[in-house]
Amino acid sequence: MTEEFAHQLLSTRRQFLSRSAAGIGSLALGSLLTPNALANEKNSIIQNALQYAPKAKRVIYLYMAGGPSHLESFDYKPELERMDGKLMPKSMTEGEELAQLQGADLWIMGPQAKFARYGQSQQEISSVFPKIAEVADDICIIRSMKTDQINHDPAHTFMNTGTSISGRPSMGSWLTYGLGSESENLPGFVVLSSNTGAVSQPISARQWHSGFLPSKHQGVEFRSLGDPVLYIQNPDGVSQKVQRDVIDAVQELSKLRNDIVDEPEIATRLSQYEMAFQMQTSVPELADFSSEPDHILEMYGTKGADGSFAANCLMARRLAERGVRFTQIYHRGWDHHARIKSLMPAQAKSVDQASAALIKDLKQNGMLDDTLVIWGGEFGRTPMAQSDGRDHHINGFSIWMAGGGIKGGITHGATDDLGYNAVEDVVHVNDLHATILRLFGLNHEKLTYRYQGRDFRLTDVAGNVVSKILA
Amino acid sequence: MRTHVTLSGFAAILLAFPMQLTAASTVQFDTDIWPIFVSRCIECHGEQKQEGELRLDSPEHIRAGGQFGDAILAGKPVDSAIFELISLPTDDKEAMPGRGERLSKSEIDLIEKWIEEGAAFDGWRTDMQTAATKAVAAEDSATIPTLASLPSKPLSFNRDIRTILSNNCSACHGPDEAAREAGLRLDASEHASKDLGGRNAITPGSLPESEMIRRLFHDDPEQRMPPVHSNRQPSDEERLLLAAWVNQGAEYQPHWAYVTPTKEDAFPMQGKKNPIDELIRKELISSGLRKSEEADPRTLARRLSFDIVGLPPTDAQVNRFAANPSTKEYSNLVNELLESPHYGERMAMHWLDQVRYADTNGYHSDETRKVTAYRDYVINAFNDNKSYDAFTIEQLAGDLLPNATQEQQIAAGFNRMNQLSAEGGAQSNEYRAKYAADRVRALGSVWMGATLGCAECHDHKFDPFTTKNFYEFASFFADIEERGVYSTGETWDPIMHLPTMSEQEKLNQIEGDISDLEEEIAAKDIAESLSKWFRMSKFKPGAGWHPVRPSSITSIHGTLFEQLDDFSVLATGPNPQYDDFHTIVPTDNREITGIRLEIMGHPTLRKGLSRANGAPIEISEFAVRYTDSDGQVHDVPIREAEGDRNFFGSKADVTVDGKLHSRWLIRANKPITDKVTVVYTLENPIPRDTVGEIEVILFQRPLNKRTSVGRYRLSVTSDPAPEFNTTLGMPNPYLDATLDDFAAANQIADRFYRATAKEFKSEHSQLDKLHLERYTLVASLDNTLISNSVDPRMTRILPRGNWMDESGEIVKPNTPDFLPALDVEDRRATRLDLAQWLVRKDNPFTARVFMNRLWKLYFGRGISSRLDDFGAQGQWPTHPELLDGLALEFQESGWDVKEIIRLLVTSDAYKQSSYASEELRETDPENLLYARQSRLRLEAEVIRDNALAIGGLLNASIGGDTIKPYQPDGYWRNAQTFGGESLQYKTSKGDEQYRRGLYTYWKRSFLHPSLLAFDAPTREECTAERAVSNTPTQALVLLNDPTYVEAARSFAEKIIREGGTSSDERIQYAFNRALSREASSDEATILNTLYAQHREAYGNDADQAKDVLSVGQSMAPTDIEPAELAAWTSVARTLLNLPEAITRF
Repeated sequence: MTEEFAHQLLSTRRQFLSRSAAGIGSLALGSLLTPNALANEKNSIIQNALQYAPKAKRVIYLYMAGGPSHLESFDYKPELERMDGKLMPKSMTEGEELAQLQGADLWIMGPQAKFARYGQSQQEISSVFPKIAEVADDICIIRSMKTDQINHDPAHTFMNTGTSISGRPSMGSWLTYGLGSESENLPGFVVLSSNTGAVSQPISARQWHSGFLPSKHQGVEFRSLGDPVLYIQNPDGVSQKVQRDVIDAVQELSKLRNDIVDEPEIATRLSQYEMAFQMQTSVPELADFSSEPDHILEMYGTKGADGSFAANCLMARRLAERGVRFTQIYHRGWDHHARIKSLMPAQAKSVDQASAALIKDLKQNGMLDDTLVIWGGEFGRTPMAQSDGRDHHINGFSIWMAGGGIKGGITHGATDDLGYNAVEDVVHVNDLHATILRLFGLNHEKLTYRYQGRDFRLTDVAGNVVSKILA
Repeated sequence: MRTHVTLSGFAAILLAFPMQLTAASTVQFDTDIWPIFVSRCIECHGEQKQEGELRLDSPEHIRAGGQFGDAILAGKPVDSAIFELISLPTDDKEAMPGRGERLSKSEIDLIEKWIEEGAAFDGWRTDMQTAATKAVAAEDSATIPTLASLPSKPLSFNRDIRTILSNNCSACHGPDEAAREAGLRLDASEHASKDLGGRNAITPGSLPESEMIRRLFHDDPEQRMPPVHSNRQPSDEERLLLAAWVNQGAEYQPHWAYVTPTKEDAFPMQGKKNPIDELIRKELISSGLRKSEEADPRTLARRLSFDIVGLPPTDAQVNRFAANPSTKEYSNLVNELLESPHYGERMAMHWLDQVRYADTNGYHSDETRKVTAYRDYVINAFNDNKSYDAFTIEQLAGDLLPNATQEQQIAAGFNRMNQLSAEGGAQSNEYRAKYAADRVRALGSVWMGATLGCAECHDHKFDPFTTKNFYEFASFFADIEERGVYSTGETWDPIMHLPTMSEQEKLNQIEGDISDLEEEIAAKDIAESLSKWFRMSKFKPGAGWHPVRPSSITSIHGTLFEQLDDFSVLATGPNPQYDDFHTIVPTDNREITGIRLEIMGHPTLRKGLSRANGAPIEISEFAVRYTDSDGQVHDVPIREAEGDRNFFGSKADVTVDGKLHSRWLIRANKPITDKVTVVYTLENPIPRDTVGEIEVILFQRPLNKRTSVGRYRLSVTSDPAPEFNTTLGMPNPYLDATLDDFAAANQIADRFYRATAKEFKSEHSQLDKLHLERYTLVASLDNTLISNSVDPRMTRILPRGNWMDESGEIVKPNTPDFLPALDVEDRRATRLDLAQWLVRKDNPFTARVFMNRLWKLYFGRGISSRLDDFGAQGQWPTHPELLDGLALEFQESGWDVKEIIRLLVTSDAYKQSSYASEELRETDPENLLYARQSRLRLEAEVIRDNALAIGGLLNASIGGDTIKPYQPDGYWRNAQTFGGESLQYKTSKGDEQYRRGLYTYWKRSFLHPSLLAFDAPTREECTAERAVSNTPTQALVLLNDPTYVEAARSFAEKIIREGGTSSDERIQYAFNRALSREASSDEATILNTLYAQHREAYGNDADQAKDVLSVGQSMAPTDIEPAELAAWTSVARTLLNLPEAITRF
């Protein structure tokens, strides 16, 4: 919240506190019950970390949970096709960590989708993504991703927090901790998850938890069923006026009390009541797509905020417009242990149009330049068949990024001929995090938080900025 | 670190000369070589240091060489030490220059060429040496502070210096060997004063001779420490403190937390009115402050009640104490609260955070894992004032105590609080490593106030814990029976059933009936019917299915087998992720045309047919081979497989398709009695003359691990066209003419007969019924995860925490060297030894850690403000002698928790007002000196309890099962279970809904959103201290969560019924009930206005009134006018939303 807004708040609301204009301004989005010394320490850490000219102002992360196959999407392997049905060379897999294929015979399975080249940049993309292929020149495909964790739960945790140990802050929390929110009536870190229908692997709220960072940095889930934000709706029988009266009474009583007890936290809490009330108004407006022209709805392929991936992509753009720093959309159902040939195109269809529409829409609004879009899952899938599907795979997989200071129309890195190991310009999860922070002008080694006696970072103890993909 | 690009002064001028190497020109010493020596070599190989006894600052010295022999051999670069050492790769320890970057390629080339060309010293002048020496000296200049500028107060290492060193230096110069730079350690005297090639980091008493000081104050920013690129920059004041400390003699002290507290250092606690006050007063006086006034009696009563029982005080308690606020009444109130059973609940809340108590397994599908009995144990332990040493021992090792009671075994469930995985594809060893590390972190966090987690991958950077210590701690827990990866839907073994008295009786009765029946079957005389059956069968033609009794069964991954009387085989013992069963069947001297496999239920399988609880069996392949009379092994092709059921669209024929990755899934949900049959018709009969054996192999490579077949039976037939049927024929020993031992065969047949004959049909079906009954009863029993000690697994140090690396050293349970030693002689130490070590008098951690956390509960911050880290990165205690005094007192009192609490809350320091004057806020913003009380926002659970209590809804029952408070629909939408547990959130009904918050179902991946909003931890990891935040979400919860709306309505009803008749009276009543005080007239006016407005508004809109009154499960009264009740509900909501209502002042 800006100072100006704080003043406005004070003058438009009944003047409830005489001594805290500055206090509200600086504490508006929530404060810890900590002495100012700590706040100053935090500021100096962030000043110290802000070392580069920021390119991105916000992130929209299209999180493909379950581990989409790179071999049917963005990493074409002719050699794999040639070796289809043959045994995997032992030298490649011996001593390697496998998930469900541990101990099984390892048969190679060729790509189950056709590939072609698209755009001026001639990026190679599978036929399951015809719409994403249309924005080929805007996206940077990274084919050399690597992660450490081979099971869903720890792999999600690793992708989001830079370590597989539970209890660390997620990247959205780190970003809002570092840069705050630009929104006055919305949280800085919003999580959406789209309806997939099918039974999918679970996603834990741990993935957007703030860990040891103050809880105001926690991702707030915007839901498509029930209230869009938990507890956002007035109770039954409580009109907006009644709610306002109650909040006003709380503020007036607290002002009187504060004259006696003189407690700074009271001012903060009252400003949070204001923020809550603002959210109660702004959130329903946000979920109301009636102001969107038809051609935009059609471009995304949605009719309204129905919890589909398409609707959530449009919602993400609306959130971005309103200053939300980090929006993450979880789309589950990529865990293709079986029937990949039929399931992959079906699953791809559920995200293809809207993913591309988001890029096009941001571009036409001029927002793509400072909005970083990331598309990818927690790991890839094995070149080896698991029945007629593929198992989890961590040594090489693909994601793509666009906008926000990323060079479009390029493919970065490569896996080996069989798509097994990332071998060229390897990008580890920690490198990805370092790069994301760098796009915001932050040095990942300097953005730290002292907890249990240690300075923690999003990148743990690793991470190199992937400078080749920076625009 | 210094680099060659940062040359200054003379060296830079020299370097400015052109330095190009062309084929035609020869290398010139004075212009080409000398500048390199000056800039990169002479600092260490000059007049001052002469490292390696080598000087390079004149031709004479260069020719003389050093320790390594000849520095240069003219014409032979390869034999010249200089060239050799500058050519080494940078990571070579011998590589030169020893500091800074490697010489550039062109510089190395120049030197090589110069030596090659004869190493002449063209252009040498003696003044060049003098100039170089000066330049080096100038380059190394530091502005060392004058002694007068240093702080003059006597410094203590622990108080003043340790944190500065730890924050700024230890990452590179601390205990972690792998990260250590320049071979320098600054964390202990013997290391810091070590001779490092002519220099010491610290020379006590001499600043110029202390390299650490020179580098701290170095003029060259590139040379100054800590390096510019590091995140660590001590302030000027801190640099001066370090200098002053070196000047005062650089005396180190062992870290306070690793030294056993002693009477000499501790504040004496005996013989004083309240020793806490005496010490705090002393500190206040020396800081020129005074303690605050005692808080008013109503505030005090409220404070005590929230602090001790986590609930608001009753009106009676407040009024009684307000009427007579004497010391005696005060201590009566304290005693009353300490004796309340809610005291145990309040203490348990904190303990459960520390031990990461939760109701789900954590990882992945995050299903229920029942340990509520452990929670009850904790509540009861505090209520019974169990001594803290016993409390410690029982949790870590209750199961190892002699004749362990049920309670002690439940307590040891502590060791099972870690997260567990049942994710498909998870590797057992990986998760075992995760669990082991989790337990070490818990041990460190709960009892030692140490952050041991760092040492999993590397030696601790700030504290003396090594990686080896970490794995030695881990190996204490290596005896705990568990699986690396569990299967979904099965129990998280080992568990202990907790039958009630009547359940136990019922169980005994069923088991008695079972053994009676079994005896009855065994006792019956069957001689006649057996012989009849034998005769009948014998004269039957050879067709039909004949069960075979295997001569041996083996597995490849450790499954064991038990042969049953009916010739079936029961899988027992370990249940590996997957396994192949090899069954050897004796030949029976007849042609075999088909083999029948029966997959059968059994009481031990509990649910269905597989060894996993309810998960389907997955058979990959069924294969047969035999050995002929020549010893030749033949694979037997199978023509057809016919099963009696298909599941999930998979058919039995995939078990003979030659592919391991296609599986026949078999599920049965009728435990015990179910049976699935499949008939395999062989392509060609196995010939009659087969000798040796027939081998039947069941390949099982399941997607869901540990779903092996639980019980099966094989039969054979010689029928030319084997038919699918399920009849049971004569067993094969009787058909085997070669069997010699007819007596043995008779016995086998006798048992087979009793196990299968129709004659016993009713007994068998009775038995099945009883087993089923028993199974159902056992499954319905309450249970809890327990620790069961088995042969300890081998524990290795995992290099960098990598579970796949098996090269690490094998370790045994042990405690670190720098701490008091275990007393176990040669025996392997156990968890019990560890627990007893923790509560030994000389253990420096246990008492201090607990006292510090207790202090925090009543004063708002710990004496050492970092509750979870007493190490070098923690905070020096504000009152160390008080912490030690309390620790010793605690030990001496027999670890009496209530006694210490009494001591804390009866102190004047505790009773002070929490009002912070301007002056206090200026002089002591963090309240380090305790010149006032702290203000604390209530914890998440207590906020709910408080609202329910004010509303009169609270169900005060203690202990028992979890509850599910109202939760927004769909909150678990992203969760998923695989074991059949419903994701439907079943909101608790009736009175259960209103039990205290600490009983909330603690789902780690989706903690109840109201708890989460008020900073309750998810308990995936141990939490010693909750964050306290202040967010809009909290406002939304208090305003809109049905729990609070319903509590407000119930409160409104009380206001109307019990608060008198006028609205003024009612407002006073409401204020008293919610805030334990009167309303001022201004306050009353605000609420009166609100009431009046809403009375009117709801009066005009009956539907709205009806709606707000219908929130929650409890029914609104019908005898109060809805608009009246709704209006008071607004007043009640206002009160419950006040910051004052959720703050302990």
